Amino acid sequence: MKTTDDIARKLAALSSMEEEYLPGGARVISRGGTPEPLQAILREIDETVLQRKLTFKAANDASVAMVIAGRRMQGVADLSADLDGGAVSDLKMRALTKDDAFLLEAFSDLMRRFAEGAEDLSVTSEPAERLGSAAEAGLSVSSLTEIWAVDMWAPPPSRIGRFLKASRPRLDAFVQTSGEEEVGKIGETTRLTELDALLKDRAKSYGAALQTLRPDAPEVRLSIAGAAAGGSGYVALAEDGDDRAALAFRPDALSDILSAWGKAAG
Amino acid sequence: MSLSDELDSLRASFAACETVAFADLSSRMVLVTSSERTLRQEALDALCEEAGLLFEGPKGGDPIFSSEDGADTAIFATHDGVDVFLRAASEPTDVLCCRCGADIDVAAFVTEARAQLEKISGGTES
Repeated sequence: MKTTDDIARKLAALSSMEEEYLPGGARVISRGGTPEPLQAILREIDETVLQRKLTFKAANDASVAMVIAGRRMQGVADLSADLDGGAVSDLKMRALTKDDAFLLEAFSDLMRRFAEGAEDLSVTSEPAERLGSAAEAGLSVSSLTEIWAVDMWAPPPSRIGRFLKASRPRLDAFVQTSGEEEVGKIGETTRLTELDALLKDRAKSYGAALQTLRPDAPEVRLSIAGAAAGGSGYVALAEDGDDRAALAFRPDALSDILSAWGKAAG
Repeated sequence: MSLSDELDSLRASFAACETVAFADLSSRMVLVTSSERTLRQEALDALCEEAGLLFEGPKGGDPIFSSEDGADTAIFATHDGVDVFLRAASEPTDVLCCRCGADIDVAAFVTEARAQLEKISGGTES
């Protein structure tokens, strides 16, 4: 049963949604990783009462089609070739139940891979035949929530959080704060000490100097400095108002870091 | 090729590059510019000051982005543009200050601009 908090979070999330359609009629359900792809898919399943086939398609053309009815996922109808193969192939047109550990494992693996590459996600809906017998009701949203370890109505991560998530494979270290509170950090101690000092001791004086120099400078900004060749690479300060992160990365990651920033800040 | 031609050539190679300025960081003064539109001196001075802030910190203050090796590249990115600053290896007071659109290929631009800067900086020494 949903608590009052669950309902309030759901209403807040629904009220912030604006519908966007692609040429061809697919409805965009996640843009730039917001909401999280698995969150977006769960919400679609939760809103599907009639027997339908929902085809989820990512910007990289990977797709997963599922048969859904009564807010339950009956099974996987189809997959794009890049996701197909191995145990995942056994999923197609098979009714999924909580008792089939082998298929559930393959399904979890499939969705994890699909979500990783699904930066932008759209959905199309069409009539479908039932998968399995009437006794096989399919997986409820709460079961899928457990299997995927996703909170369907969790608020979206902050802009800085999205940026760090997208660029994390390329980072040597980072420290993230929101106001005075440290939200997360990763990296070796020496690097973290340097980044801590940037965030706690120098970010304010930098912001003040920048404000004097460029009063029109946006609050959402990424400042980077370092040695391109040799040395210890780049140090950067990502800012969005009171949300900040100090990060360190190697010079060859520069393009990827700026690309991740462009998507998060845009 | 004159210094001005070198800067024009760099800007012409990258459609998203709007302004390139060669400056002296010790005096924080822009010496030569190439820009697709006329920029007021205040804007050029601010660009040069921005380079100083990123490389050396606020005037009279400590460096913001401390680096034991000495920073030679700095970038300021927002949703609507990317400022790129490069410091010459041979003469660290020689800097290139560039204002680019958000769609600039930063890695390619930095490589090309650095080669130009080292050429220019080497030329000013002789």
